[in-house]
Amino acid sequence: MRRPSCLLALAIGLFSLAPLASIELRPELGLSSWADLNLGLRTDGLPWTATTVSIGALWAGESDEMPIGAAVGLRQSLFRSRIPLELDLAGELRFLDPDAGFLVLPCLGLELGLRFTLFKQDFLVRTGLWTGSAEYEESYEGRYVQVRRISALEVPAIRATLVWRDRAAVERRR
Amino acid sequence: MHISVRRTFSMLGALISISAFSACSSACAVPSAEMPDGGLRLSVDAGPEWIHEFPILGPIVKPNEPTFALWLTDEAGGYLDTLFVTRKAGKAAWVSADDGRPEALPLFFHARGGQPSAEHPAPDGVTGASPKNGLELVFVPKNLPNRFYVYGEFNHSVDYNGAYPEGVTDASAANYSGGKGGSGQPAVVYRALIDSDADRGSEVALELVGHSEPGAPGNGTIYGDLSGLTGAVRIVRSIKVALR
Repeated sequence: MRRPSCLLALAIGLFSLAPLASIELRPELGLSSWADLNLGLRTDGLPWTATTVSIGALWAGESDEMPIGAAVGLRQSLFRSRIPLELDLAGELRFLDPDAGFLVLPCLGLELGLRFTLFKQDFLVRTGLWTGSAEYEESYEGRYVQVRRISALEVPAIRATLVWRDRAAVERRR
Repeated sequence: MHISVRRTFSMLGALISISAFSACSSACAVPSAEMPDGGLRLSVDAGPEWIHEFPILGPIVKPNEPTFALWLTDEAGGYLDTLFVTRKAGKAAWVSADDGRPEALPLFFHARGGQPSAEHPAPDGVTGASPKNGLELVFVPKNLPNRFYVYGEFNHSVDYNGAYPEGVTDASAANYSGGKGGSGQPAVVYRALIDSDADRGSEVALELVGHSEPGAPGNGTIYGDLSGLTGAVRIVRSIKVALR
């Protein structure tokens, strides 16, 4: 996972060299099928690309003792304003405790989003493919044996997210 | 702008290829702990029926890994310790099953003196999600007898076949399948007798010795006639114990 993560950071870094003038920050809130809630801040204003950084809380069903985790993410979106679609490349670090100690789970996704307006609010439905895994050791001291096992935690291959996004300032002024 | 967009998409293509490769590498390898001197490595190699399709709604199905347990007994059959049990069975975390699922792993439940429950679950260190393609674990004897049995019991839900059809709901029937949403074919049982001294430095394969009760645990009978089983006997390709 280390190499894809580095390439992701490089790609997003290159995108971010785009002119920064006229960029506005738009908050957004996303609820995903992975049982997490993310609050993002999106740099908007360029005609074809936007970068979003996000933080979030996640439900870690793998854990009995600490089922709450956290996530930080970085997302690069490609779009054309006339078309209500967005192509996103996203990376995320998920912090959780699968009953075996603190774990960082890096993941990488490619998603397609559909923008729509409902009750005068901007929404986006996003779905795509993800990959990411982290290994951790579990052990057990029984009466007769000591057992050790390497477990792998993987993110589900498909993620769907409903996003509410603050309307752009230019839209609000109309 | 045109060139820039093209470059962007070629970069995306490269990233997709790399992430697909990364997903394949993590899915295809079974991670393993280091084995100390005197330790034993138990490897479960997934067979062609490791993944079974569980119907959700109409044509929508969910790929399911098997429910299984690995445990040790002494030569007389007395339960010693659990090495691994899948999370739903070990934590009684079944979906809509008030009485647990006694037919899931009847021999294991009988051996350990009952099903794990939410109040008395199996320890965290021996429970885990059903692995996607087999399992490896290492165990180090502490007070283990010199000779002991390693058992493995594997089951899939709703893997009905001609001998264990969905319609058999009489729990006393020899081909009881649990009915709709039931076990289908019964759990299959693998076993090997390990002699810590004689087998030192070698590898012992567990043998498929039969199937357990199609319903409730009963008295821990293993039925050697496997003629009615089809997919169940292909869940596992091999189970081996290597002794250092």
